[in-house]
Amino acid sequence: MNVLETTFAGVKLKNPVITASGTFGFGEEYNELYDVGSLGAITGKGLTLLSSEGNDGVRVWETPSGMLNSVGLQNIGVRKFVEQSHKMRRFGTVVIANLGGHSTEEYLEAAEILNAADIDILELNVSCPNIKSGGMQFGANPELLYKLTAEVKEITRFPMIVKLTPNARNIVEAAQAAESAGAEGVSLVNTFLGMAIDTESRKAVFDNVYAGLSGAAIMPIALRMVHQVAKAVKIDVLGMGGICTTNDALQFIMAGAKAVAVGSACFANPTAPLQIIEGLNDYCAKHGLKNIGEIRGIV
Amino acid sequence: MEYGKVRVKSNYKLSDGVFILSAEGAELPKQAGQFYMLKASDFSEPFLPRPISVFDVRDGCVDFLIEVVGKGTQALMSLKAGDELEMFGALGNGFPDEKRDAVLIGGGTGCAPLLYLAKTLGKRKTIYLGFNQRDAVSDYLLERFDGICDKVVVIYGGFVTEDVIYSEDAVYYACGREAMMKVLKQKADDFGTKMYLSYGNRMACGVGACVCCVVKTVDGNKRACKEGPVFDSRLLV
Ligand SMILES: Cc1cc2nc3c(=O)[nH]c(=O)nc-3n(C[C@H](O)[C@H](O)[C@H](O)COP(=O)(O)OP(=O)(O)OC[C@H]3O[C@@H](n4cnc5c(N)ncnc54)[C@H](O)[C@@H]3O)c2cc1C
Ligand SMILES: Cc1cc2nc3c(=O)[nH]c(=O)nc-3n(C[C@H](O)[C@H](O)[C@H](O)COP(=O)(O)O)c2cc1C
Ligand code: FES
Repeated sequence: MNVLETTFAGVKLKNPVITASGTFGFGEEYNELYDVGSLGAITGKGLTLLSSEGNDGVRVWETPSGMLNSVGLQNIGVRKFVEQSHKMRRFGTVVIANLGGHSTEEYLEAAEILNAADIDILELNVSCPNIKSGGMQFGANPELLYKLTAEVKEITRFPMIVKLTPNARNIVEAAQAAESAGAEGVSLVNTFLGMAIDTESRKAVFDNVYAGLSGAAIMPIALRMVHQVAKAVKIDVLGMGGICTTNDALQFIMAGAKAVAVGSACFANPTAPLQIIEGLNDYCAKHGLKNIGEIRGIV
Repeated sequence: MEYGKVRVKSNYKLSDGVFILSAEGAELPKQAGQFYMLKASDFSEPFLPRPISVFDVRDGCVDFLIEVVGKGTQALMSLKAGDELEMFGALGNGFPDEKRDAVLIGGGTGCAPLLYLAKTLGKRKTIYLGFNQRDAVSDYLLERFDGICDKVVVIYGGFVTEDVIYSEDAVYYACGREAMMKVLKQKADDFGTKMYLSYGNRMACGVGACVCCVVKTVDGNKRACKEGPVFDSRLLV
């Protein structure tokens, strides 16, 4: 077995480095820069049942070592995605579709339609802070989360992971709810709810007032949450939140993540995921590891 | 498009807040109006790279005309010849060459993408430049445009948009502050002129992957970094 080969949610990955939803389009743009097929998996932009133009006003605002975004799930809708999913398949790596929604009915209908797509894993996004209703409300309440996960699980033909919000009162309970509802894994964290004020206009920067914080700034908190969740569940954990370097990725793996996702770091350095893969290979060679899994959860 | 560390060939200060950064070893742009994402170093502060248009291409180097706004442009100003620069590009769609008489309109340092455009366009070119006042920066830019445009009209203070003659016989290219672009779009609509506007927005990825930079158009949201930054004024709303 290759040193970086990892099985995640029952699917074989050539390495445990994945791109985070919403930061990588559907892979096409970055494939012009390098072979996206060399990544462990790619996650597409968050989909909803119907296409959406997303939020108005400012969508991105830089913060110390990170950024706030208020994109608000601008996307082509699941039907159009189904027609196009073969394009992601062509990259030659594992494909994850990210699904958000405003109500249970919407999630279920969309999951049903997505069954026709050529993907490997479904990531249920119950953690988007940038939509007015639904989204994060499901992720913040373990009972709602359990019910929704169980119902989507009934419908989908794909292995399913649930993307958790760090804005939940207790992210460990949320992870346990996803596990007992039958999810094959959990991914965490989505963005932290944040805010910015323009002191000249004396107004909130974002039309939605609050927005999602990501990037290096959130890494230690995300790491702590991944550590807590990994200790509390048996299903696979996809760790993310501010991962920029190999060292960051290693810390998530040592905290218990089976795979890691790189998001905002791609904006700072579009080759970040490739550098991390190379760095993980070097680390394994230097420390005589036969597989990266040997250090998983050792802290 | 390429990403990597390149060398700063020179960094020349035109004034306290405006400089010309020349980068060596980068992929050259295919078209005037394209931009690069620039950063002094990868994961250090500031976190995001800054979108900057191509000002000129000389001796295999890409030149940028940059005005200091905040910490990102400040960090770029402090780079010295021989320093490393993170450069991602060339990105976006530039100005199409319609092989017709061209009228270029630039507001202040916003005229940056028009120099390389003037150099690469085939036909008769008139440029209108608006500056707040005459200073070292305006003098430098005038001199640069003088050699390559057939006619240069300069306005200090006031609104350059009011001095332009709008006609259906020429194609118009413009770049400047948002307020100026709004006026120009209106003028183009009123006079039925063909006009291309370089229309930026806050960006994160610069390649079309994050949909942070969208501009509203008659066909819905378009990504300034991918479908733009140059848009036909008739498409903008
Ligand atoms: C396609 C395009 C081409 C550009 N070309 C040039 C050029 O040739 N020369 C030049 O001087 N400037 C250019 N700009 C504007 C330049 O990108 C901003 O002035 C710069 O990003 C400000 O960064 P800062 O850190 O100095 O300011 P800060 O205000 O500290 O920046 C904070 C954040 O806001 C963003 N931001 C602030 N102002 C702008 C703006 N006007 N447009 C986009 N993002 C902004 C920054 O990128 C950063 O993410 C261009 C912008 C775009 C979109
Ligand atoms: C611009 C942007 C758009 C995002 N869109 C989505 C999305 O559509 N669905 C989702 O589940 N997460 C979305 N996220 C969250 C990321 O996938 C990731 O969970 C978060 O940014 C933390 O990781 P990072 O710090 O490495 O970016 C988005 C993040 C950013 C910055
Ligand atoms: S900046 Fe990411 S889509 Fe334009």
